[in-house]
Amino acid sequence: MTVVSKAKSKKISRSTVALLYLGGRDLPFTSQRELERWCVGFLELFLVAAVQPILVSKKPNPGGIIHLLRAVRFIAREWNRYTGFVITLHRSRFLYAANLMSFMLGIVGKPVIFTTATSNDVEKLHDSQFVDTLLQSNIMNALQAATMNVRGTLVLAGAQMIPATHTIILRAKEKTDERFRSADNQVYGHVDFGIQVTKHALTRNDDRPTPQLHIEERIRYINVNATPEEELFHLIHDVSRDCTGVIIDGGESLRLSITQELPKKIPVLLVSTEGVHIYEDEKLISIPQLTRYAAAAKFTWVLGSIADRSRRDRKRKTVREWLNTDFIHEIIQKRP
Amino acid sequence: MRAYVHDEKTDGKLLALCEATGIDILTSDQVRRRKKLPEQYDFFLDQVDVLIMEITKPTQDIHFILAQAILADKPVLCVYAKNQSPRELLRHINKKPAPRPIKTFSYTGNTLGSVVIQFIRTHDPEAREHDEKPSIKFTIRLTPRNERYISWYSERYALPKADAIRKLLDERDTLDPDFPENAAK
Repeated sequence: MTVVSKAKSKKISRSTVALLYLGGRDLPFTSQRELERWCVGFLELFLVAAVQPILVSKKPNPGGIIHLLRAVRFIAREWNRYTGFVITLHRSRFLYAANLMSFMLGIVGKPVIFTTATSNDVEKLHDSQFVDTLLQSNIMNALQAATMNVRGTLVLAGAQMIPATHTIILRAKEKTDERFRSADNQVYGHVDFGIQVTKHALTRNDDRPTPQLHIEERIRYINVNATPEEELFHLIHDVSRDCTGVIIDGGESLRLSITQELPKKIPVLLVSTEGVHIYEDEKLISIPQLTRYAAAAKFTWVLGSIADRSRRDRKRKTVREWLNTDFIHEIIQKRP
Repeated sequence: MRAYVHDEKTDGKLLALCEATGIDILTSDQVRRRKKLPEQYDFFLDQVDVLIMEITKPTQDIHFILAQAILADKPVLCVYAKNQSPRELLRHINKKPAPRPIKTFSYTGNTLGSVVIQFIRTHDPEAREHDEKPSIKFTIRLTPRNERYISWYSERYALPKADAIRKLLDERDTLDPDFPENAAK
């Protein structure tokens, strides 16, 4: 059973940061009280900020969205009570979840900081104790950012603070080194004896979140690298009538000749490190101005919004047109 | 050894004391001026071996740096002016069970130097060498008799007068059992 704790009855000061736990540790929290005890035992936390820990989900499903929806509703409801928000997510599908929440929240006038346990030495992530320490260190960085004069949905899981929709993962050839970087050098700050904010950072304003919570869940996700080749085409052909879209993740690269096998009646998003394409109405179009994570999240969000909007108005835009529309400054103007 | 020095109260005195030991120093001003963290570091505290911070009036950044330093078990010397203790910050620091990587010290103008030198020498065995290198200027008025004695002493031992004075101090230093640094050896 998942729990979102209501705000406590005692008065919360204006400089309190809400810490929403949606994953990140190897060991789950079984209750709100256990999360609070973990935070109290983590003495360094309260040196950085007054913190209100909130257990959104005891066992969040990294691929699911229910816990994300709950967190967005909480943030929208409690917007005025907190100076900023920190959200911890599981490292598996971290950027996808951060991007999806960014679209659901919309434009925001305070900092909403996503973080997780990351390491440049991926091997060390097998050690639970080490993961806890990493998460604590990243939470402190995120709390510091949440007290500052910046706004937006931002990723801070390492040394840099970057808009979530502009964040990519840079992997070294050895694949043990994994770092979050900006797709277009738009870095809002870096952690260097404090958070050193750059000229790109936007300052706080009165924008409140306007949650758009219609998410399409009937999307098939196919990871090409995790699927034996003989099964791959079977999976693609076997897309059920209930599916409203398909995401094909090619990992490092994706042979676009796969389009010959794609379903014709529903949109298909193809993502890889090399780029993003949409296959719609039997046409393959490149979408260069979105990161692969923003594209996958936006695809999911847009298909839900289309279903909702089509009930309200008759104008029909293609999925490609929706993907090319800028909602939350996710469109990358110029890649370096 | 490399130290991060954060000082916005002593008008450069703390920084000068650290520089006199010859250790490599990174200051808060240098950090603010640079555009990004050097590429070879993923965690800012990996750039330094120790931190020396003046915390009489602690800022949000000081709170943050200390929090990360405690978690990373990085040695920190926190000094604050006597009778101006930052109570809330000290209360947070003291909540951490011993042994703590953070040492706190209430200083006056006369005591700041020795606590900094002692902290640095504890963490850098090579600091002793720098301790022997004259680098601190000192103005003193001598009586006419003092001057005659120094002139005679320097002629006798074929030393410049400044060297002669240092020789006398060194002899006194090594023979004085009450000097705390001699007691610690």
